[in-house]
Amino acid sequence: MARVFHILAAIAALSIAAPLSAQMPVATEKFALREGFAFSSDKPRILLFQPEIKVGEQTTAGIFQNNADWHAAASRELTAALVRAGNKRGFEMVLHEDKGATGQILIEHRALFRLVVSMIIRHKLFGKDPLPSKAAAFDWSLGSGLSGLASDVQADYGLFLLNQDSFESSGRRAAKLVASLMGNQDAAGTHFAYAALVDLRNGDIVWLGVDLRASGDVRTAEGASHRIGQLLNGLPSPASGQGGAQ
Amino acid sequence: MPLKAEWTALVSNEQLPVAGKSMKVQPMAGWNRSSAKPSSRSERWTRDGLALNELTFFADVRDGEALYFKPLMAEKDLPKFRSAMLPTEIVELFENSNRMILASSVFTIGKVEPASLGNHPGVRFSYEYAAPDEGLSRKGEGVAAVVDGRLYLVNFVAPAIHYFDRDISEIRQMISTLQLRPPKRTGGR
Repeated sequence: MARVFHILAAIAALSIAAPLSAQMPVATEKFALREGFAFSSDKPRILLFQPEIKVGEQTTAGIFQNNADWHAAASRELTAALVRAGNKRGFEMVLHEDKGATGQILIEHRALFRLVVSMIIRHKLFGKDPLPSKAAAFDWSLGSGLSGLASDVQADYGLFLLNQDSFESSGRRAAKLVASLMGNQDAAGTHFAYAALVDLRNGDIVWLGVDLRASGDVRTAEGASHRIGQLLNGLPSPASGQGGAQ
Repeated sequence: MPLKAEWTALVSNEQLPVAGKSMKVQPMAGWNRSSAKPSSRSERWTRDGLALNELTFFADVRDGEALYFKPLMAEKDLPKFRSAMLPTEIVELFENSNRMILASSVFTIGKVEPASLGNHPGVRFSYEYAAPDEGLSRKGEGVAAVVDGRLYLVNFVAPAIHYFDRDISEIRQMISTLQLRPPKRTGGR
C-alpha cells in the first residue's frame, strides 16, 4: 500500500482538480521525454530492474486483497513482455540480479523513484497542478547513486516498471450491478502502470510513460504484451529522434 | 482556503517579500511559490514538487501561536511559540510540531549551532526523519531567530538521496540574502 500511496494521491489530485462541469475526456495515458535526449550508442544496454507488481482482487467492500498466483503470473509475463519489447526496439536487455550489497541502494532508489514519478504525474504530465518552472522542462533525476549497479553489468540505462491491477471479485460485480440499478456509478477496479528509462550515469529520468487506466490482462502473455506495448508508446528507439511531453 | 494550491514562478535574483512584509529573500532560478500556506504566517516554495524539495518561511510568529495550522485529525493542539524561548527551545518547538504534523516518531535532531538570520543572532539545526510508509529518509535544515519577541524561521527538507545534497548549498546561499524588517511593537501581543 505504501508504495502506491503517492501515485494514488496524484490520481486523487487529478480528480479533485477536474471541475465537475468539465465532462471532456480526460487523458489517462501520457509520456514525457527529456529535452535533447539521444541514446549514447546504436544498441544501448538496458538494465531491467525487477518490476514492482501488485495484482489482486477488489473485494465486495472495495478492499484490495493480494493474490499470490496472479502476482507470480503477472511478474513473469510483464518481465518477459518488457524484454521482448526492448529487444524489438533495438536495445540489449539485461535482467538485474539483486546482489546483497546493492539491494539496499536499490530499495532506497525505488522509493525515491516512486516519489519522483508521483511529482511528475502531479505537476507535469497531466497538467492539473502544474509547476510554472517546469512548464518547458522535464528534468527530474534520481541522482548518481545507481551508477555502481550500471558498472557491474556495463549498462547504459535502467528501466523501472511499476504496475498495479485490482480485479473485481464476483461479489463486488454483483453488488455493483445492484448499485447501478439504483443509479450509482463506480470504477471497475484499478489498473495503472508506469515505466521509466533512467540514465544510470547521473540518474536522470530520460523517458517516462504513465497509464492511469491501463488495459490488458497482465496475468496472460497476450495481455502483458498489450499493456507493455501501450506503456512504451513514446519511448524512442535508438535510431529514432526526440520528442517531448504528451 | 482554495481546494488546491496554485503555483507561481518566482523571479530569481530579486529581493522578494516572503510570508508577509517583514522578511525578504532573493530566490535562485527555478523555484515556485504555493498559494497553500502551512499557517497564516508562513509560505512554502518548491522546485521539483514538495515531496522532493520543500522550503518553508515563517515570519512574525507571535507569542502563543503555533507554527502550523492544526491537522484535521489531531487530537492535541500543536505546541505554541513563546517569546522568551531559548534557541534550544525553538528547536524543540520545531521538532515537536513536525512530529505531530508528520505523525512520525522517527525524527532526529542532529547538529544545533549558533547562526544568524538576516543579521540577527539565531540558531541553525539539522534533522532527519523517515516518513511513515514511504521507505526513504529525509534530511532537513532550519535557521531560526527571535527578533523583538517574534519568531523567524526558514526550513528546508528533501529526500536524503540526491535532493538534499544537491540543493543545500544553494539554500544556504539563498538564506544568506535574507533580510528582516520586523514591525515596530505597539505594546500588545
